[in-house]
Amino acid sequence: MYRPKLLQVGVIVWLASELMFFSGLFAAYFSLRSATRPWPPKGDILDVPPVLVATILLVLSSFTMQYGVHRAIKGSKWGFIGWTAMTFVLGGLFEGMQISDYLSRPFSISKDAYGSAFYTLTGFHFLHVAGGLIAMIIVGVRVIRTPRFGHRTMPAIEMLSYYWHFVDVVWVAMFLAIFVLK
Amino acid sequence: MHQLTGLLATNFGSPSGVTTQDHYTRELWRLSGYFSVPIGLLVLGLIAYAVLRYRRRPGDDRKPAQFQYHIPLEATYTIIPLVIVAVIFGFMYSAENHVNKIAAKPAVAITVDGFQWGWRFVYPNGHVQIGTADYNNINTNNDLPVLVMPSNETVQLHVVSLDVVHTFYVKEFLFNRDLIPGINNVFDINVTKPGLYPGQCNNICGEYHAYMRFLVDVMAPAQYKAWYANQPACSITTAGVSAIQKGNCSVINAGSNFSGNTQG
Amino acid sequence: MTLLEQRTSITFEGHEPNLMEIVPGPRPHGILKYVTSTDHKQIGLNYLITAMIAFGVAGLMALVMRTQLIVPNNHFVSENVYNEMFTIHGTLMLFVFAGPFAFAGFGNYLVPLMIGAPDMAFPRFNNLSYWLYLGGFSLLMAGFLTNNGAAQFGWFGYAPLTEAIHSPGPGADLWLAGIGLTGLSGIFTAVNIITTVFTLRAPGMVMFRMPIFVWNILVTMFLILLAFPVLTSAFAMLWIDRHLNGDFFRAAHGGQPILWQNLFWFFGHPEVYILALPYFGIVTEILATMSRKPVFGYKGMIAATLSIGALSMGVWAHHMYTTGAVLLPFFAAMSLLIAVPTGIKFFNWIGTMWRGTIVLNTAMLFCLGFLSMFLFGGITGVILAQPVLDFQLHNTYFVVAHFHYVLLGGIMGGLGGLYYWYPKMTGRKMSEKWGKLGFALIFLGFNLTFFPQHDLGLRGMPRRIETYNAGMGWNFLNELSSIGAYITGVGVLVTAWNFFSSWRKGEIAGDNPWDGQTLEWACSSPPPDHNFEALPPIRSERPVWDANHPDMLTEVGH
Repeated sequence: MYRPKLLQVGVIVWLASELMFFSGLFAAYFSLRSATRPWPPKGDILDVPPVLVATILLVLSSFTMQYGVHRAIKGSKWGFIGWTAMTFVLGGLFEGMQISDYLSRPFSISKDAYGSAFYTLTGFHFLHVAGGLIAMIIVGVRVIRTPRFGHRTMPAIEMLSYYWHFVDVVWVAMFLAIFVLK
Repeated sequence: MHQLTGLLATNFGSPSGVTTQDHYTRELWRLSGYFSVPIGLLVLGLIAYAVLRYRRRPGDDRKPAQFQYHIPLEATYTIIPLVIVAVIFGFMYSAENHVNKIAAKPAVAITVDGFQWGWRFVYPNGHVQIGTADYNNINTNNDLPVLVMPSNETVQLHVVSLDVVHTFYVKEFLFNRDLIPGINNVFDINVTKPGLYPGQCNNICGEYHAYMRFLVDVMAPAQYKAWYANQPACSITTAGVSAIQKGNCSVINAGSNFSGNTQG
Repeated sequence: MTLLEQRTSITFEGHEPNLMEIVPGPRPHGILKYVTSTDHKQIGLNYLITAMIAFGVAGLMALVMRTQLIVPNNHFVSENVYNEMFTIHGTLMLFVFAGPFAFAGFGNYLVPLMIGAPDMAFPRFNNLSYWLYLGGFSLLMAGFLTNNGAAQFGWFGYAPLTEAIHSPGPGADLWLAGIGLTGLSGIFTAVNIITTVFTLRAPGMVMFRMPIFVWNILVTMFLILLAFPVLTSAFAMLWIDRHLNGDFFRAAHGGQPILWQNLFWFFGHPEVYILALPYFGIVTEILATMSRKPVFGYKGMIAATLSIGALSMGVWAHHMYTTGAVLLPFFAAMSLLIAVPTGIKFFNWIGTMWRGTIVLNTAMLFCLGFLSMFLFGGITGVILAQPVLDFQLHNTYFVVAHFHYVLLGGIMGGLGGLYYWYPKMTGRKMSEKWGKLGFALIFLGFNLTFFPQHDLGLRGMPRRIETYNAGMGWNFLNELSSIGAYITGVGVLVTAWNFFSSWRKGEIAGDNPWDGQTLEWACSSPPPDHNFEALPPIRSERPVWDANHPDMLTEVGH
């Protein structure tokens, strides 16, 4: 009899709640945007090209993550570790570029509602990526230390990839909303 | 028959209003009563009947029936409520349009500003009625701000909050409208009966919310004209005492700059 | 051991229990048992007892408020204390009592038992949920220990009153953090219960054989999943406004106070059904058992629950009719529509009792209390769903009366559930004598408290005012209402006494004292670790009844 895996169902349900959390933030962003002209307000200047590069890196990291899962399914412990390390580097680069972008913005979280929304949306996403990086370290260490790589470590690996793809998709939506649909 | 119409004309406890719009509100209230009282009694009656008729008495060895579905019955009590709800919605929709109607050219337009914890009423010529209640004794009506309005005329009220969310509420008008920073709320009121009506803030707004009261003084049109002619432009009436502040009109009328940093 | 000897003589054909890993070694005792338990039954009990304590605390606050309002121009408590009282009363009742009592307390205890599972899907995660919830409760109460006191802006905390300049001090922050933690705990419980229901049902327990209670909890959990995270995001924004000088809700800086209202009620209205649906489920179970009949219109009942859940996501702005900033006809239509599935439920409940053999014990009496009061609250709800009438009644005591009829109606169902499942939890029955007295006092006191408040609302008394002018015609009704509150208080004390004294001294109940129908009555009372020694065959939504009464199976067809 087929039974869905506990952890799989649990993580997907939990990601649904995460999705609703970001929906709340997006709702606030669009609500503020609908009543403010011009948008972004004067002085709230964005620098799109570096963020576009960061976005591409993050999207790329979804592919490296998935390839790592693929290697893990094939039973290659070090294949998984290698590809996850690459994903980690790409995610780390994204975080670094985000920090440098924050430092060079001419507006702050307290300047106006736009500033609050900008830093809140991207900031919560930033924290989620950081959580993903930490999860990669934990799963990676577990995988390295386990003597028998196999079905007992697979659920954690799969869940890590679900989470990472989720964070990635949220960022693409955020990038489109904040940087493209100005 | 006469008694029957008398019964049907009941207001189901609703107060009688004093405006032209409240007619629609009371009609709707009465209509809701016509539907909900019989339905409530019917359901309550069915419950009482079932419990009394089918309760197990000592020594009772009836076998309970074991039926579970009765599709026609279930469909009936799905469709009938749907129809009732649709009818109520129809009546409500037309009443709503009457109550929310805004005249292009009202006879008088007054700005109503709410602040923690009092009211300020600004008239077209810049005259201001302002006041906050006595926080020590709610039984006194001293110092209450007074909103003066003519009767039998369309009065347009523009409600503005100077700090937090307040609600303009006068029981006899059967009407509430919120004062929310950032939102322009305008509504019309046409009072048919002159008199003095108490009003009150109806949204929690901090420590002295309960004391944020005011009075509405509705005068016959001629009387109102005379009163209005007596109020110099750009004068303030605070706690019943008038003071003329020459050349200060812009300060008095500045809608959102009441005391500098009140915008939350 | 005495309990084992008294077990009824059900013999189940041999399904092996579906046990998960059993942790070897001695089990913790004493206080450690409560702290570390990952058993869904112990955690359920922890929730139930904590929630009842919160009910007592919030009830005391209600008595303070009613004492303040018993005469006009009263100075029993100061304005600030009164504002703290109604804020924390509402917050505790909604976030710590009414919701968790049903969906986390009864939900944890009963869902695995009713679907034949050995435990929840994530037992340790479940333990974490409880401690987050207790932490949230503690933080809410901690507000009273701070300089400026607890939060004072009402349980829906309209911005900009909640901004730092209008509500300075840590009380408001503790309110944010406390609700945030209970919300997180609710989300975790939702993840856990949804996973449990989807993956751990016993063989034969298909979705359409689950008890209505489990269905209602499942829909509730989805509502939590949709609603609570949005509240969390609104709280994050408010926190940023308060501490990082953000501008989300500050109109002067391009923010929108109305945004708070939209986000809050987007959570807040589903929350109403998060509170109500589990109680609907409890009442359904009790009515079926006490009438000794199957639930009438089982599938219609599920459809009604699902449509209530779906509609509840689209009605939030009916709390905002008077803002002048919402699309009135849409929200009015959606709100009125909810009356239809709720009506279906009522007729199904009547159908469940029809031609049964109804046992009028305390549990059943509380259910009848629920039916009559929820009916009344529902009817005033249809009135308030109409914007034109809401313009008149918005924020008056009419609204207060309406939602207390709805919520206390639900809680009556919850008390019924307590009487009904107490034997399962403890192996003993609560006293019927004290139970009936408690019911009579609560029912009488409650109606005396809240019925006059409808009239107070029509007479124009706003909610949340600390005192009132003697000349408004509100004096007598307030007096009645306060007396009713004291009577309710006595009734609650009687019920609490009954609850605690029956724990050790109640009449021994046996495993299936009510001739129950659903799976929880197939295990011993209280159930052992991992619940079932054997399961009866599951061929309908009432396997235990089928095993005990092979001569009275559900009739097929309509």
